[in-house]
Amino acid sequence: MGEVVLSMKHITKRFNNVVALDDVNLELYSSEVLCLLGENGAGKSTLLKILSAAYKRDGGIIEIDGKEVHFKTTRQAIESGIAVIYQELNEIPDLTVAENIYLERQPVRGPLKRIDWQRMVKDAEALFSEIGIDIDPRRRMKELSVAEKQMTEIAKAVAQNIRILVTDEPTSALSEAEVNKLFGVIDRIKRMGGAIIFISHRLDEVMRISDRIMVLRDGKNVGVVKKEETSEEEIVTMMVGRKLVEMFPRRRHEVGNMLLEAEKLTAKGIQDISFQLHKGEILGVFGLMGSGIQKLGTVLFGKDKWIRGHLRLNGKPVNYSSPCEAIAQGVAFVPSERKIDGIIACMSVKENIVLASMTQSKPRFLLNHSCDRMIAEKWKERLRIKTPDIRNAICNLSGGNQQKTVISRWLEMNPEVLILAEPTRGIDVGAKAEIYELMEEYARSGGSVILITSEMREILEMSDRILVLHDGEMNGVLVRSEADEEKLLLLAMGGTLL
Amino acid sequence: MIPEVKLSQIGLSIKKKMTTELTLLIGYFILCTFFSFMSPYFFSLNNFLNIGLYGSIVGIAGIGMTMVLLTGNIDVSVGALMGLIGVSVASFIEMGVPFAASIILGISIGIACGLLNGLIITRMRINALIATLSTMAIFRGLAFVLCGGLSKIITSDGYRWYGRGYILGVPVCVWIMVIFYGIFIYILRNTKFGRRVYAIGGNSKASYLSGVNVKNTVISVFTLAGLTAGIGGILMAAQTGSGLPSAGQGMEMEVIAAAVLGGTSLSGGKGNLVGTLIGVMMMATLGNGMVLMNVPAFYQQIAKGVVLLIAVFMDSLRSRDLDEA
Repeated sequence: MGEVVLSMKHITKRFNNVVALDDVNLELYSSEVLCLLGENGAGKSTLLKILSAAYKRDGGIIEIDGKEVHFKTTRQAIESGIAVIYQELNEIPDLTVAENIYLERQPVRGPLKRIDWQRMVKDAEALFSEIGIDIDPRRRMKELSVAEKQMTEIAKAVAQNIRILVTDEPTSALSEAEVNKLFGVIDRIKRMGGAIIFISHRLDEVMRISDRIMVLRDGKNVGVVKKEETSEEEIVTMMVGRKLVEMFPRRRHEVGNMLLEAEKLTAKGIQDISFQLHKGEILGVFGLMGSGIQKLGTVLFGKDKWIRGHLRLNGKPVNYSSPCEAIAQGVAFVPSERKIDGIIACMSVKENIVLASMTQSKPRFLLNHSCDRMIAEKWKERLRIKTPDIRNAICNLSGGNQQKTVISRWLEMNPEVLILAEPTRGIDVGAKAEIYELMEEYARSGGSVILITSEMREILEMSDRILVLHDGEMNGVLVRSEADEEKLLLLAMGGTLL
Repeated sequence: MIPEVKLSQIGLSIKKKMTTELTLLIGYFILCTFFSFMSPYFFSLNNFLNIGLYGSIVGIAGIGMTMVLLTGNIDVSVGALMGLIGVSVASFIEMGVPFAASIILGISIGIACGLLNGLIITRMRINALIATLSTMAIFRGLAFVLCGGLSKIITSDGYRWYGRGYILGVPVCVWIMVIFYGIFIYILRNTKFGRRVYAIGGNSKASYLSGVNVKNTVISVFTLAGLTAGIGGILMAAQTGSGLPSAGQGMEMEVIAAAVLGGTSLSGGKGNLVGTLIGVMMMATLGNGMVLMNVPAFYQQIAKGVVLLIAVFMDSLRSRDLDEA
């Protein structure tokens, strides 16, 4: 750890009358990774946006190398060495990797200042090898995986002589192997003297990568701890302000009759998937990125068509080609991309909840406003959706509460099969525990769950059985009692169990 | 304590809901005050009925347009459709078809054309702007073909009553507009169809994944836009007493401007018919006031363009507010 490169003092920010940040202090040293932790709505993103000048602060000062700075635009922030890499990457898909890195700063030659394409590629290659990235800079940006795009974005920051690198949940869409690569890159940058602020919801990652951990709660500093001097439990307690007794509530229980049976289901991206799902069972589906687990979810929900194979529900063959038909059969689906596929941002919590059940409710054509209100209040209370009023727009809720709203949309339909794709991605610890509790409750009451996730701890703790996919094909089924992380990873990477 | 909190929240939500409409009403009031000072003829019951008469056509077409915009689409063919229907109805009457039957035929053509728009957009997966830009040219061309480029005088008094008649001192056109607004405000607020319209505009992917039949809803919305444009065209022909192939030129712009001015978002999901109605009255009052002030027609064009720009700018400001939150 070197000297202080960035210090933010007494930062205050208000949105209308809501205080988002209240006297927050942050210090960042060179050659360190500082993890910023906090539940959704704790103010992490707001703090970062103030740093990158995306928001104006209402109070406080920002100093870089001891000198006070006033950024008016994000451009100025970049020029003084701060880069923020958001979850939504801003790449230009049809340009090459090298062009994306050197956008607006292309090396030129000759009197006409034409772009020196060869040097650009060479520079990019040199840069990549320096920080340990293995990507061909001649590839088009759109061909890259999310992980590769992220690493390109980081390389771009390094090329711009960025000394303070802020990454906002870079790992939320990555598989374990990709996370390892990313951490390698971060480590190199750290050793080169860079300062990194890292935001993640995955505690294990935080414990691995960070030097110090700073916790925010309700827009206030809770504390800063050194990694060596703390534990996961202490951090969680700091984050939620209370002790979480049990993160994973899953208890063993009897499963009932067979409900859903897939036989050699084949679609674009998945091949010959066969499994059985029983009543009261939680079936986990695990795989690395590109393994087809998400595809299996959308196929089972009728969003994508299967070309071969059979699906039987309650012993009867079913065939559906749209979500509409799947819903009529009692299949529900919570999509992995909550913001893109899940919520309708400008609509109220109430309207979001009744959206799916509306099709089947009576009367056929008219809305029953008072009935809708009752349904929404019921779920608000049961799932503890935090909102002052169910008529508030869902976009004002935190990620966890948005997810609970999407889940209640489906629970209201009383589905036979509930497919959950990455149900806890990007949501805070408290809400995660509540969603696990909910799954458990739903399964105990006889419902069947298909849990599609790339989070290992989640799948190991919650599922009765785990279906492991590799490269679109099934590569084993693990029963709860015999499943562990090594076996899961081995199967997911295409290996075989001895 | 608890009821107190609830009360303040209700107050807040009403305030939030009302701001757009309230701003508009204040704007409208200022506009009226301005014209009252500028022209002695402006502030009279008769003149306001005139404004209503003029606004009714844009108003009725604005109903369909608002719904189209709410789904995140756009329909620029409504002006051409009005022209086509005016000419068609005039032709039917000339051919000796009873005027009532001609009206029904005209409305049917409107519905069919709207349905065609909807089918092109959803089945052929063509962007709504491009699709309706094409059908706009087609409808306009058909109108000219149908009458050989000449206007057709409508002699049926029964038909012209719809454009020029009065019931209880209020123009028939205004009655029709009010009834249609009543019906469609109810539909948007209280039917599942209405909810789907908003949901699709808010996030069509999420709506689809929640079991909403996106294609059918979009087709319905364009069909309704055809219906309301058709009625607008019939009333326009009844007001002018003729079927003009060039009638309704630029009308799509006025209709879109009125809806957007009334708070309907061009990106879909936000807005309502009350806002559109106020937007329509603003546009009509502006036009009427400028005529009374003897503003030359070309300058009126410019003023309308500026109003459209202001409306779109306000829409952009509103969506920026949402991003910040």
